[in-house]
Amino acid sequence: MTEFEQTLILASTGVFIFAGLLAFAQHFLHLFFGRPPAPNQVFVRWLTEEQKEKLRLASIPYTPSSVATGEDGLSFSPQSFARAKRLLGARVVEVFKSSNRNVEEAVLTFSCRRDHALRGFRTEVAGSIKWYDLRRRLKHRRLATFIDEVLMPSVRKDIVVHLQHGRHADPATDGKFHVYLYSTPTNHNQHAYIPNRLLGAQFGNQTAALVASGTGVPVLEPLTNFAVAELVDNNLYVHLDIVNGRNLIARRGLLLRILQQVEGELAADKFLEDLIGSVKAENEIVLEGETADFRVEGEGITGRRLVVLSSLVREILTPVVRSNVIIRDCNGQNAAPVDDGKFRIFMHSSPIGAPCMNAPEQIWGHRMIKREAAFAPSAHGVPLIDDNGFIVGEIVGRNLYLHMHYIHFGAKLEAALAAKLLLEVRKEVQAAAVEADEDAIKRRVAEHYVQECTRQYAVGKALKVSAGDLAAAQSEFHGHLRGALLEEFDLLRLQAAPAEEIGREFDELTQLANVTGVKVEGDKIVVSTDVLYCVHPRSHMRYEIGAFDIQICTSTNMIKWFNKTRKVSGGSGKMNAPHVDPNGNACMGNTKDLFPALIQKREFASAVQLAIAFVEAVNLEDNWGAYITNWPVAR
Amino acid sequence: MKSYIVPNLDNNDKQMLHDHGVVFYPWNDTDIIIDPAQLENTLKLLSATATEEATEFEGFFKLMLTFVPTVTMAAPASHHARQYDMATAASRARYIELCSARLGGMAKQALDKITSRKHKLSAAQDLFVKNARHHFVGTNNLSEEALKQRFADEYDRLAAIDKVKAVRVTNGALLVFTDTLHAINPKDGKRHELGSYLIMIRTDGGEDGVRWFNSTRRVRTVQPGMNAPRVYPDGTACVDEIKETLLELIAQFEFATVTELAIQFVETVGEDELSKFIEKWPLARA
Repeated sequence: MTEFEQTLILASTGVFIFAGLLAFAQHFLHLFFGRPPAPNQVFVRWLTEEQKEKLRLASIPYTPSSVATGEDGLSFSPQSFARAKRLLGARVVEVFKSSNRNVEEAVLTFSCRRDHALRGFRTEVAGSIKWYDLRRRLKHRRLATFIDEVLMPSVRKDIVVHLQHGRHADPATDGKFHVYLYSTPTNHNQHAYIPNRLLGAQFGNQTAALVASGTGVPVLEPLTNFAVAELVDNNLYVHLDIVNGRNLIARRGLLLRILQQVEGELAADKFLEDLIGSVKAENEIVLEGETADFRVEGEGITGRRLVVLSSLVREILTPVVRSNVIIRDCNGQNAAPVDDGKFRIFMHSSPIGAPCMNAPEQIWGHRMIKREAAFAPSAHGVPLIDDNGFIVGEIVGRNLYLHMHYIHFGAKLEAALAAKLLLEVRKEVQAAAVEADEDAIKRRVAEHYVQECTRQYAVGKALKVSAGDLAAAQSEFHGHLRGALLEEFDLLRLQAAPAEEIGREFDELTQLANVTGVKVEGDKIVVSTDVLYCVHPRSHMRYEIGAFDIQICTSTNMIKWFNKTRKVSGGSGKMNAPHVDPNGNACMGNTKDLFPALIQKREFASAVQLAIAFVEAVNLEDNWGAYITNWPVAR
Repeated sequence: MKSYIVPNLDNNDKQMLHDHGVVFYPWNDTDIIIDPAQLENTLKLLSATATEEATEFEGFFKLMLTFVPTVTMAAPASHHARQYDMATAASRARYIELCSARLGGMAKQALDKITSRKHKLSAAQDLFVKNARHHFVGTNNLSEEALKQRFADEYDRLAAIDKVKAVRVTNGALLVFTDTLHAINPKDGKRHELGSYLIMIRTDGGEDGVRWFNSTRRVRTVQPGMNAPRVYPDGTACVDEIKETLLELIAQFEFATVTELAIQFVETVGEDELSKFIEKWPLARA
């Protein structure tokens, strides 16, 4: 055995022993030094009221808490968490680290009895596996089971899971439900910036995500508004790269949470039922009436959008409008009001005008999933105004004009906004029906007026403001108002006659001090000046330099000075000015880039002002500048 | 005989053409057909130039419009330019030509400036109106009954204002519906019909405090769909010092005076760049 082979064997043995020690340390060192400290608290979120009630009845202690702003849940001691887990039949899927070392967040899944009707459906991961690759087969099986447990109760059809690794996939229409992991329905190939924290999980820079295509219902993370997935009919696209291609189980907890969010969107009939139930509970008195007699139809609106909107219209609006309702998607076009006994809802429309208003981020506190330019009210009817003054729509006779679509996808968030909107419409329609008598209307408006003023007056009591504070605020407002007035005037003048604005600049150029004429020929601007003078900075004697033709060449961005009165020896032959050579070129020192830049930007007026100032100044430190005394002293 | 299809007009444009006596026929929801006799007037009213393009239908030509809402505005400056001798005028024209590359940049610069200013203005405006409201309420000693009486009296004054047709109170806003309002062009003394308005007054002074929406017609001037010469399509007024007064009055619950001033504001036409477009509103019938 050579010396090299011996060294190699020794080195391999060393590496082997070191790896063994490392494994030992990882697994058994706690026997000598104790385990790392267990967290004092286990945080759990998204427990239902029913589950909380069970915990209360079993006297399992917990405290309401939050791990970050807006992320509320319950905290348990490790002992009570173990009891709670048993009681609720829960299994920990993943543990998320928290910024607080004493708290860990447990992501739970709950075992529940499977509906017999679902036994006929299967969930599988697409793609072929070699017959001998049993490990991969097992991993596919685990992933499929995991997704099956969460989604199958809502989906109720065969589920196919696709590992797309960032590739897009066209939505399938084969009657099955397809889950595309790390994919989008369109080939836009845009990657998204992921927030540091999503659904309780921390993210590093290494996780990739795709941008939602906008073709389906976005599944949003409630706090950051980040689209974690998108639902296009029976196709779910998860945008995050959270399932590792090799072991398939990288972020199980996060995948579970995403699927739980999706489940909420999937069951449109369930969330609509809940929503209508809560609307009815909150508005018990107003929500009574027969709805079965009237039909709600859609024109240019189909699918999930129509299902969501028509359900809400049927429950909230038909009892008061007491007629069939037609919902029409006008897509930004005007629509004339119709009076044929039916009630019409025109989406993204108005009787006149065009969409010209910026949409707010929220309406009545409900976040807008998709924003678009909104119509202004036609003033033909009664506008519907949200809490922040945005004019959401307008009721003109038996026509409701919605100034935006509001329902783009039929998502839960949109349904909640639509329910609020329809409740406001309902109030207006009811008021209009009651107030048929003109005198009664006037009396009622007067009462409303006093109520509204009294309400605003009460709001005004919330804060004490001194006269000084008011004066300061007024002064700042006044300053900006004056500024805006002048700036808007400038903009309008520029918009009104842009060429004329430049003409005005030419006029100003001719009126500059010392300028006697301006000629523009070809690509040359020649500015003629009066006699220019230069003051000696030390003796303060005034020297007469002469009258000039300043030539600006727009093709070369160069400027030249030609003395029309005299040329004087000093520095570099017969000079045009103390710092301008016989060819009209100046020695500009560190300002040499200034003139070309101004000329290139076509700021000729500034260039001329500078050019005149240049002749009128002298730098005695400069070789040429020292000859200033060769110029005649001014009389 | 030729017929022209004028494309992509909104209802405001069609209404304006109708108001100025242009005879047209609808082609579809957005396009109209006019005959050659109406072409010049139509383009003038729309402030547009056009090129024509043959269609599959014999005798029908589609116009490709380019909107130049400002051409008419160059008149005063052109008049000024004529005072130059020919050489200077030629120099001036050449200067404009040389600088034309700067125009886009100038417009963007001016727009950026006003946009940034409006952000600051909006914040300062909100603070001012809130402070004014808090200060007013804090310094007011009226009892609850007296206060309610004062509001009731104010409402009576509001409802009695000449040209106010109806008043409604809704969520945080007063909706004042007016009769047809008119404005006189100071240049020629002619009376133009602006239309009926919905004046929306926010009771908390938010969102600019007052907005104006013309329910009769909207006109294309510096932007399509202007509600009045000095009121933009979104109902907000151009920047004007009257805003300060209006907000101060809102803060003091003087809604009748706010309404009077708001009506006066749209009916007043000045010498500013926006007011010049009053000519685009139809002349009032005698």
